[in-house]
Amino acid sequence: MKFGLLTTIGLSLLVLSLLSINSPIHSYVSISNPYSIKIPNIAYVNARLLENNSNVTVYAKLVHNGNVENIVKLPYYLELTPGIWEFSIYNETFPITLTKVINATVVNKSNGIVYVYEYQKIEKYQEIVTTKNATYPIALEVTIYKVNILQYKTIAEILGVLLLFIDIILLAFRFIRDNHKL
Amino acid sequence: MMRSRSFQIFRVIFKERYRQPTLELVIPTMLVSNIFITAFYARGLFNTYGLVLAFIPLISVSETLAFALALRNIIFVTGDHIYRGSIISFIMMPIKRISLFFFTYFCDIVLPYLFWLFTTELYILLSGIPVPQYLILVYTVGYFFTENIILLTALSFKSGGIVTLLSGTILGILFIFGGIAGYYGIMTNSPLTPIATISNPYVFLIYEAISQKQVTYLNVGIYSEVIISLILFFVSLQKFRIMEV
Repeated sequence: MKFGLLTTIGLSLLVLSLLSINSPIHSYVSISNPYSIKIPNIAYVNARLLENNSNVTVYAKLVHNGNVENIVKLPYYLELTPGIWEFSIYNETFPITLTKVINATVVNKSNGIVYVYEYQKIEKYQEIVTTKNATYPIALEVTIYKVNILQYKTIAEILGVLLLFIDIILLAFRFIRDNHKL
Repeated sequence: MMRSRSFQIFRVIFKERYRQPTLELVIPTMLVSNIFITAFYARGLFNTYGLVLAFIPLISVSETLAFALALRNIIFVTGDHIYRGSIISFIMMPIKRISLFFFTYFCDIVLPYLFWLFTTELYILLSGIPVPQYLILVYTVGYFFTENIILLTALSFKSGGIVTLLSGTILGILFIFGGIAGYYGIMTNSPLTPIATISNPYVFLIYEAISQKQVTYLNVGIYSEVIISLILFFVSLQKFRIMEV
């Protein structure tokens, strides 16, 4: 028995509609400017947002399809649903060490003479800064754990089965016609 | 049922190239091998970059398959007939030489392309991946450009081995050195860069996808390829028309 062309196309459509890519794909993106990613309907994606420096408290703004979804404190874990996601840094809070120069005087007495020294002293102090600028970039870890091969699975399945049936019917017709010739 | 004479001759030419298991093997392979589009799309984090990579010939299995099928048809079926002289039986059929040329051209070159187009578009439609259609256009133009080069070499030289090696060398040189020239053209911002788009537009497509900048001179390459392949086509037609067997 010969396998027809329609049978093989139908079988391959069925195979494509049943299979999916299951090996996970990890990817890291460093975000300082707003970063957008477009998730298609065929993909199942997780994302983890991480701060880069443990002294920094970061709030990130998540935008989904143009609407502000959430403002979250990092680290944050979420599932990315289909659509366009945009990640940007909302604000960052971190301590910085600053220095300032102060004038100081030292009075020293010896042998009845008073010496007065004046000098400048550098003093360090810490301040907590909250800024909207992205001083420390944040890391986005994207994990694509499943990608379907076809989006319109049902159409492909119906088409595949239909092609198989058409080929079987054609085969039967050919069989009948050949037998009549004999 | 009485069929027209031209159709019967076309059927003979078609049947010779695509015997029973050829189409059954080639078309499903083309369809299934398109999963690399999805794979590259996911690997490139759903950017255009991954799609451009997936559509580069030799990386894309279905494009390579279409190209190889056409190459085999030209060199080892039509070319073989010409070298051995068995083309005479086709020429003696009650049909004009130009029609014969068009039939062989359609069966040799256009049909593999149509298989590729059909399977790729079906896959794109069903998978819902937003593939930019200019990738299809770039491949289409490049495909006819390369196949017309092969056709002309096959009609010019009277040996299958020479034609295979020569066309492989010509196309390899065009593709590789065109790519290198394009790369350095982009790097140095040279005014001669548009010339390199003729031989390898994929470097520019990758650059466009990575840098998010528009490469305005990409059209130069596409138009020149169309013109060159038309010239090659008509030269081949003329060669076939006055060919002596």
